[in-house]
Amino acid sequence: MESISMLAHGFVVALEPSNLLFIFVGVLVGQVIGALPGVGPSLGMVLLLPISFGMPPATALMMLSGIMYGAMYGGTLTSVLINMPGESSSVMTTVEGYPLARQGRGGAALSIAAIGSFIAGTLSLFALIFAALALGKFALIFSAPEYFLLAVLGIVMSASLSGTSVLKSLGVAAFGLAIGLVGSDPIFGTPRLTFGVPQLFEGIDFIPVAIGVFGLAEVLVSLERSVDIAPLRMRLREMWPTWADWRETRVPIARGGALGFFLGVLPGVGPTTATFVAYALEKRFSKHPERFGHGAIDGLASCESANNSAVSGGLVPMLTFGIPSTGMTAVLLAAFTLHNIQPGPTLMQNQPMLVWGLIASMFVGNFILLLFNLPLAPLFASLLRVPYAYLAPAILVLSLVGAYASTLNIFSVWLTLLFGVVGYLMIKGGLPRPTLILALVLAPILEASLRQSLILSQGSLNIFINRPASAVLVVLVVVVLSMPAFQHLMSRRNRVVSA
Amino acid sequence: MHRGEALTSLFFLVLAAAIVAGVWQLEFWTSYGPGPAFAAYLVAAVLAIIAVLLLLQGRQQRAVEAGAAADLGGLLRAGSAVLATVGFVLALPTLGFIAATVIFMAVMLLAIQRRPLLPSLLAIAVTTGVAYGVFVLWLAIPLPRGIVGI
Repeated sequence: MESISMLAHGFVVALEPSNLLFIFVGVLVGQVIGALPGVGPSLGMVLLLPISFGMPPATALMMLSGIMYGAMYGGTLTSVLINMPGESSSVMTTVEGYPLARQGRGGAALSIAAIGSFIAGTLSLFALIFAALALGKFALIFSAPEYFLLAVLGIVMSASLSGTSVLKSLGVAAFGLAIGLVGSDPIFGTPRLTFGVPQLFEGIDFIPVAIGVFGLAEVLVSLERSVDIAPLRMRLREMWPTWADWRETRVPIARGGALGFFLGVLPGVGPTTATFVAYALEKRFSKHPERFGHGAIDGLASCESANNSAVSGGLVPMLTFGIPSTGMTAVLLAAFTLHNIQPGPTLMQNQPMLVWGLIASMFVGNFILLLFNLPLAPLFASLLRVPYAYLAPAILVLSLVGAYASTLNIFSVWLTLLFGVVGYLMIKGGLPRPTLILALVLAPILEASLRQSLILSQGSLNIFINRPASAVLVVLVVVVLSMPAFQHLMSRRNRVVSA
Repeated sequence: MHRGEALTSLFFLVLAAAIVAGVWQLEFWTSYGPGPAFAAYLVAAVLAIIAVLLLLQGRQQRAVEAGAAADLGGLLRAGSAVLATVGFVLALPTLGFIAATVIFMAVMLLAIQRRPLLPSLLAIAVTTGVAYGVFVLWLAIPLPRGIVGI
């Protein structure tokens, strides 16, 4: 009952006119960003971070979180109409959505995706409330050793599930940690890794790195392609699904939504992985698996539900432990810190109106997106007719000006450009960029909790195994690190057996 | 040996060396506990171990056969965009935000991407206007004015 009362208060906060306006701005920007290939939700959130500095923290966080789930809706447009995923969690939507559009059913595909996203997104928010309340009480027993291991687990899981070599991903994570160590030592205040550059004494700000790695790098990669792609045409009257479509997709929506939420809770797993798993599961359960890959609307519904509910799931570790699970929640966590809000297990107790207002804003934002997506999808689709060649330099300008605005220092702009080139090389080399950002955001927590633990234990590592919670986390870290080697051994054994 | 693994491994090794070079004068451990160099040395050690493992992994893999030639035109566009962006950042304090943005957009659209003139002029005007409106007029952020004064 208390949670219902708190949620009601949250709605009062979220429905204040100024907050409502910025929720609308956030979901609209998210929708546009999700629709534009080469521009991911993380970049959108980072670009709006400097703009959010003048806002009350709750308003800023509502706007930024709106971009997160708004982008999930927006990514569907390019997937269905251009056969190009607007962002990574829309890849499986492309597999089914574009064939549907070629069959003249693009409108139904977009509608089912919007309705499924709304249902799964809304229900997952209820799950978020219950999970956050339950884990929140559990999180209060966590101390420095558990925080260190939780941060390590988040990084290790992100590296294991990045889709690339685990070794390379761990190396990228270490790179991110190294960036986070630049500046002054938090305990002794001595300059560290500054190499005599005065501008580095205060450390490397998160925003230039994120804008460079997510924004500039994507633009540079996209500039290598010079093809203008025309989206398939779609009319408003084609938007409505049939009752047969609804009967076929209601169970996949529920299945995808539930799976997406549970996967999204796990650190390192994000909407992208959730959609792949949901798609594979739906193919197994489908009565017509042969249709998958050729326009299976149930497969589409499952993916779209999974990616939206995974966004809510990803907020659980962030709101309860202060540990981000994806690149997007890492940016949101950075926003908390930049607005002087201390994330962690006491967040729900110390800032109840902010947390419940944020959750309530997501209900409101999901509803706004459903209202917009159904009738306005053809309008959003028209955005796709703007050749990317005109958007690319605009994105570069806005990115660099945004980086300047964050510190009013031209050095930040140079850093953005440097990390843009770094991000470009990472894309070419197949290295995961979200892992870099995740490690950068977790670096202060990781170092502080490790040092505190060792001070408490007077240098003994037993502190990480003497406590039950931290012992469990150690086992989890070891299991996750061992899984790739185990899978490699199993596949070699299977090859020998079959030979 | 797999070239990608070798390059990545080299990068991690250089990074580890740079970290050690950046903290070697700091204390690893103090009477209170871990010193300022503690975390940095740990990260450098992880990087070095990963670099060695990648090298070993790369030696076991066959070298990748030469695939399709890289799109030189695309690489040139990306490289030119980087140079143009460097020019933009250099010009920003001197010429000011508006002048630097107009010149940068013009170079990108007309010279590098060879877009038609009229749509490019519209894109330049919209981008400059939106950026100015959002950052200067709405957020009151003092963007560089340079010698042009605007």
